[in-house]
Amino acid sequence: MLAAAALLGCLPASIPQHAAALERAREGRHPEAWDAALAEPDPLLAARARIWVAWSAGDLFGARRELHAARRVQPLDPLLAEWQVQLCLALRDADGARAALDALGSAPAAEFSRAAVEALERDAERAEHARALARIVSLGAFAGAACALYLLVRRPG
Amino acid sequence: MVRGAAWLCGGLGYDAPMPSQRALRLFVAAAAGAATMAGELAAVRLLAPWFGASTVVWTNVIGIVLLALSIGYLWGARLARGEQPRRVLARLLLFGGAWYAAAPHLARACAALFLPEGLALDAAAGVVHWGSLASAIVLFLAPLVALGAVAPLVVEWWTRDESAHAGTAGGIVLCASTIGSLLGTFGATHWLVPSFGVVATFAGAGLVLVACGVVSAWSGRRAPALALVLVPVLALAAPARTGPGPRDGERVLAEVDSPLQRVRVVERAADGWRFLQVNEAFDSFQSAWKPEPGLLGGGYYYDFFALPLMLAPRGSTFRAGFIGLGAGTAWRVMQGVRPPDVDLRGEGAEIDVAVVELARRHLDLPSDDGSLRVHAGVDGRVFLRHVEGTFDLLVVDAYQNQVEIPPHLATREFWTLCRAKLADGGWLMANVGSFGLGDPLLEAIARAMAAGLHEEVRIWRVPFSRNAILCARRAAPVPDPALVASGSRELDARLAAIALPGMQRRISPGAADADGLVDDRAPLEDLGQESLRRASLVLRGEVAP
Repeated sequence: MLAAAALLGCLPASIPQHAAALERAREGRHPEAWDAALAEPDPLLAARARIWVAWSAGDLFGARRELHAARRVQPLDPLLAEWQVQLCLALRDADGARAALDALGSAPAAEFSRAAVEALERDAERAEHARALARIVSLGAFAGAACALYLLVRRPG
Repeated sequence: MVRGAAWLCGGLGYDAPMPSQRALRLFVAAAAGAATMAGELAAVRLLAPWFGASTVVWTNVIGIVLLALSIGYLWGARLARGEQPRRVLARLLLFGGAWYAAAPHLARACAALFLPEGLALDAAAGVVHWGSLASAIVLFLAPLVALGAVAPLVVEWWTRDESAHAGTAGGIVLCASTIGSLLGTFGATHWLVPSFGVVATFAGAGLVLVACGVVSAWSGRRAPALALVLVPVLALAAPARTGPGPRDGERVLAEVDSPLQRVRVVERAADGWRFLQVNEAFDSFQSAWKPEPGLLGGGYYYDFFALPLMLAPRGSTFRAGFIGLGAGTAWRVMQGVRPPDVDLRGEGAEIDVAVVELARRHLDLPSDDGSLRVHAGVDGRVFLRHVEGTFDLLVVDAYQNQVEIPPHLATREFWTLCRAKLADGGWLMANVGSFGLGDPLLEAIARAMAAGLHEEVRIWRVPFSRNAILCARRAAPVPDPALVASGSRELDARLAAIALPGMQRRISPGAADADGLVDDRAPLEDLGQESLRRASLVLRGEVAP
């Protein structure tokens, strides 16, 4: 019963220039699209296609795995950088999204994602503050209760 | 009550010079006991819309109740030395009663402080433990300390008025208090909360305590002044909204407190889809409904349950069983894709009667159309043990408290029972919320399933979702998802996506399962906590899913 309404986000705005993989993935033939991506001789195009196929299949973890591998080889590719921001947003990884956004610099894609990254960071910050407050209240209450019990036992009358 | 008190005291060798006074003392002790237990049970329900009703939340609430009572007992012992213990008792009862009545009205602000609204599950999960503990402290520590002090003060009142032995008075008061606790326990679960709701339960308990306080103070001639406390208490008894409101673009169609959980149906304005949510909900739901039956698409795992039906031989009767029917989402999906020459029959167990009633009213769950038989209020394992015949498909989609799988529905013995209820070639499919194929909870359940079923289990990650489907067949192989032709391009495409690397996993029946889930020991809660801890690492990319 634990379901999630498309919590893992939507497809990236930009698409790779790999006609064969794109076409097959759009038709729902993901295994064939994957094979087409593997067969691509250009490493950058192949990496982009693999990421997009995994992403369009709903496997965002797999897409990130491919993305990390591709970024190590192609750290300056703007499309990969843009996708990293969007993928981190889809996975609600605030730290990763911020790092990827900073790496994007002042590119137009960065402006597009900035508000979403900041909202995600605000959520993470709110959760952290709430947890810290709850800890303080709880531990404070237990400390107060221990003191009260001590005083009542020591001086019952 | 008076006769009962007289009988009780007579049995202990007491004369009863003032039976009404004795009855009052016993009633006050019983009322405090009843209010304590009713408050404890209702407290979990009050917090559930924000923090859920998991074992952790129960532990936090019970822990705070015990802490408060221990302080209250000592404090009461100290107050009992004063000159007018009855007056002090009255004040404590008034304080506790007023606080009880106010608690539901403070809950929203308190919960928002410790668990900001709008957080997704992964962000909220880390806050739930501390947040529920802090909320329980703020909302319930003070009144429960007051209630804990009641018993020593009543004992003192008794011994002073009747020159009784402390042990005798203490025994009688403790007996009355415990009987009150018993009534509060059963009354809250089976009558007050389901019939009147959490807010009215607290208000009612508060009013009883205030009334006890007023009557106890009567001889002190302070009753008229103290009775003024009743005014704000009555005002607080007015209906209050508990739980977070719907998200933007959603409206609540119905909301009830069942004996098990808080249940509501919300409708999304944009497309008319409806969702049944329980307790904390966060960004999740228990059941989904769209205006037309059929596949839901997107990240909805229910669609996969329709695959065995779509592959059923033409002209056959297909019998499906549902453990954790919910609002019948899987049934509705199957109805929408049923081949015209396949006769679909179903039986489903849903433990929460309120879920079934809401589903019939708002989500088109059939009442009794001959094709689907609903067993409302029946546990899944009881259903499986007693249902007649075998099934071509068994769907296990049972959750308690939104995120916890009931341990007795995940053990090796349970899956063995499932095997006995499967026809040859029959499918067993289970939904498990998880974060990747390496999720410890998912893996433990899959191993238990393989061991109990004596069949290979496939784990399919549901695209665009955190759910995974465990899939196995009795005495038949599960087809390769990439090669399946279900007759629906949409479903075939989603199945094909599972064929990608990292989307599926096989667990063989011979896989090591020495420390596996069995009826004697199934630590699903620990595994669930481990799963959430691991999830934060997975989502940050620090651990492979």
